[in-house]
Amino acid sequence: MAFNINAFANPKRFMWLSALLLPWVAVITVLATAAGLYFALFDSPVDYQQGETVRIMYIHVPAATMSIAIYVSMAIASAMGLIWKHPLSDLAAKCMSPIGAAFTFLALITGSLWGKPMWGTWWVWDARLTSELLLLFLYMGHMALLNAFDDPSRGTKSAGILCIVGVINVPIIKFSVDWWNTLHQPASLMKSGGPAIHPDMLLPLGLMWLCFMGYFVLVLFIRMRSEIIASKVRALRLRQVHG
Amino acid sequence: MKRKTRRLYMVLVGLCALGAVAAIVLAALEDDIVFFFSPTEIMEKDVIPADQRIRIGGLVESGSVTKAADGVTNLFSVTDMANTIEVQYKGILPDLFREGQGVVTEGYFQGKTLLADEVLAKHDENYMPPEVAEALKKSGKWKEGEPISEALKNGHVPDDAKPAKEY
Amino acid sequence: MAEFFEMGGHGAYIWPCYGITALLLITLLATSVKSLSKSKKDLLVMEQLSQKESKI
Repeated sequence: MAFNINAFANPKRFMWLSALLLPWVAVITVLATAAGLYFALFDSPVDYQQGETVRIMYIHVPAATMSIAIYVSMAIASAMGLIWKHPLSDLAAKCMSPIGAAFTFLALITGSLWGKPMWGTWWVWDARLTSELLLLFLYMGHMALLNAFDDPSRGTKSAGILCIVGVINVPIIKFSVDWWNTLHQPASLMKSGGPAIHPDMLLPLGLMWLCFMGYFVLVLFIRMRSEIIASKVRALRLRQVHG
Repeated sequence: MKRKTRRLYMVLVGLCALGAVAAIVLAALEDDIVFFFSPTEIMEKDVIPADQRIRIGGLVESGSVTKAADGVTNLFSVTDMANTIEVQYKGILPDLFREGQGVVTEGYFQGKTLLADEVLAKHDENYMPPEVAEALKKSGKWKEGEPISEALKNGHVPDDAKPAKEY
Repeated sequence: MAEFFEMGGHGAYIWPCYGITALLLITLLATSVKSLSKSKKDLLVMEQLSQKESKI
C-alpha cells in the first residue's frame, strides 16, 4: 500500500479512507470466501498422490503466505514507527500482530492435520516447521511486549525492535526447504519455472488467498478504527479530569 | 546528522549485523539443522556408532520393497541415485510409501543396514489430478519426481486428460 | 452425501482443518467488531458529557 501511504498518514484521513473502503473490502472478502469454499470443497479434483487431503492445501498454503506477509508488513510499520515516530505506523503494527498470529497458528495446525495422513506424523523438528513455530513465538512476544510496560511508548519501542530483529526469520522460513534437507516439500507456487500446481487447483488456492487477504485488511481496519476512537476517548477523559 | 536519519542508519546497520550473525550461526549449525542425511552423506562419514540415532532420506529404490520371512518386517533400500542403504522396518508403512517415492527413516545402524523404528513419507511439490498425471506419464513429458511446472507451462496437458467435471 | 463428508477416508483431517480455521477467524473478527462498537459507544458518552459541561 505504498502508493497511498500519505493518505494514511494522519488519523483523520485514515478514518475517512478506511470508512470508505470497509464495505468494499467486506463484499470482496465475502464473495471470495463463498467462491473459494465452493471450489475448494466441491468443485476441484483430487490429487494424484494425496487424494482428498489436497483440500487442506487451500487453507494451509494461503494461511502460511499470510503469516509471512503480515510479519513483513508489521516489520515495515515498526521500522517506520521507530525511525519517523509515526503514531499511525505503530498503531498498524500493534493491530496486525493478533491477525498474523492467528494465520501462523492456522498454518501450523492445518500443516499438522495434513502431515499425519500424508507423512505419517503430526510434527517433526525440521527447519521449515521449526522456523514457522518460531514465527508464532515472535508474534506472541510482540503482543506480550506491547503490554509489558507501564509506559506504553516503551512497550511500542521494544516490541518494534523485536519485530524488526525477527525479520531475519522470514528468509529462513522461505528458503529452509532449499537450504537444508527437510521433511517439508519444496515450494510449489513461488518457484523458478512457474507453479507446479494444476490450474484446476490454482483457482481455489487463489480464491482462498484473496479471502484471507480481504479478511486481513478488513480486521486490520476495524481494529485500527477501534484503537483510534479509543485514544480519542482517553484524550477526552483526560481533558475532563484536568479541565 | 538529523535524529531521524541517525535512527534510520541505526536500524539498517543493526539489521545488516543481525543478518551476518544469523548467516554465520546457521552455517555453523548446518549439521544440526538438516533433518536427514542422504545415503551419500552417510557413506562419507567414517564410523556411525551403533548407539547413535540417525535419520536418512532419499527415494525408495524401485523393486527393492519386500517382506522378510517373518511376514511383518519390511525390507527396502533408500537411494539418492549415487548410493544406496538397506533399511529394515517392522511396522505399518505410511499411505504415500511406495517405490520411487521420497522417504525419511530413522533408527540405528547395524553394520550397513538401518534398523528403522520410524518411516515418514515425503511428498513432492506437484499437485494435479490423477488423470493428468496419467496422461503426462503416458506422453513421456514428465516422470514421477520431476517438477511439473514445465509440462504445465508448455500446455502439455492433453485435452483428453482434462479431468471431467465430475469430481 | 455421506461420501462427501468422508472425503475418501480423510474427512477426520480435512473437516477439522476447515472447522478450526472458521472458528478462529470468526472469533477474531467478532472480538474486533465488539471492541469497535464499545469504543464508539464510549466516544458518544464522552462527547455528550463534554457538551453538557460546556453548556454549564
